[in-house]
Amino acid sequence: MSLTLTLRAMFVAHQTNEWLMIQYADSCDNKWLAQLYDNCADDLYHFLLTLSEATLAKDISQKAWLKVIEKRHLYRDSGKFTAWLFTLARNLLIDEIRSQKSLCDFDENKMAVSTNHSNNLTKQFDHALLALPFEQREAFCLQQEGFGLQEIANITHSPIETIKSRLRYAKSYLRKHLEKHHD
Amino acid sequence: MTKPNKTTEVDLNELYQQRKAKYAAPSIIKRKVMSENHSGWNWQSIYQQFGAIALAASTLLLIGLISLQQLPNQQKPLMVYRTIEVHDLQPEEIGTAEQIRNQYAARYNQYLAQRQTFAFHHQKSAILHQANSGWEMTTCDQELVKVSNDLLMALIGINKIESKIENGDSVEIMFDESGIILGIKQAKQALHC
Repeated sequence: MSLTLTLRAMFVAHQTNEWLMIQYADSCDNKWLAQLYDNCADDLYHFLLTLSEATLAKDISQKAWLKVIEKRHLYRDSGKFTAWLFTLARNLLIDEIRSQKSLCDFDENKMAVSTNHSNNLTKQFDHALLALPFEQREAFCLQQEGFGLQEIANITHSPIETIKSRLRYAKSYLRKHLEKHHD
Repeated sequence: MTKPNKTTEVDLNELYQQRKAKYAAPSIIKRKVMSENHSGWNWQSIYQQFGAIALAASTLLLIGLISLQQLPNQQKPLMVYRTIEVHDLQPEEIGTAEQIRNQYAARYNQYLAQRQTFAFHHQKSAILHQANSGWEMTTCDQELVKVSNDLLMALIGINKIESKIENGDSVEIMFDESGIILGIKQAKQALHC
């Protein structure tokens, strides 16, 4: 039993996203891409959905994965795969938003969609999260996805102090909003 | 003192994860991505193989060109460089004082003769005096050029001396570069020294 667990642990240890991406870049095999997709697709889609709306999130998510296919030879083992993936997706999203409208106009539309009031805490969290400014929401989501401050700074092309400030404001707003709801 | 239901960092994480669990990526994205990867694989493989073949072919071509250029260069030195062996090189013997003096006199006479020849070469006009032993031609520099009967006959035989020349006529003597008389003809104008 313990031997099985040890072998399984060893096997699983090799199946990191970075290892899978290298295997995929070398072989171009669907098997590795499918595993990568299963590991990361929901996180990426939720990140994009939180920053935009469902149709755009689906579109950008698909484009980001196609970019992974297209630019697989550019991936280097030195970085975290998810950081690379989220950077690709985030750049695509920003380009798309800029091509459609300005960032502020887009956020206002987004907030208008999510103004349904509910007593449920999860829904209140959703409402508060979507009410955050784009940059704060983005920084908060990336931190929740497990990225460090430096990684968030790299993904968003922003100074690390700015990221700290955005996170502080985002968390403060969310706490106040949720406390008010509980009170 | 904190409130019992105060929203903490952990609560935010939990709420975020709960929210994320509600929104899974649409399955259509995976289907499209996988089909795109599958359709793109063959082309990619073909490009890679073509690239490898092209690289190999160009490398072989480059090696061939370099080796072709080097072949003539290797043969050239054999043709250009030749060994010359000097088998006999004897030093000039130094003679006695009398021999040196005689050699000097001979060289000096050669020099004078060449100087005269040089002068005649440029002094073409002269006055003819016919003698029994041959012709004698006097230049304005009081130089005397003697032409033996044998030479006269030889020159007449090849039509290099005009037959109408008479004693006392002004003549033009033609020399070659080494001073050999090539011909004698009557001067158009009389020579006045």
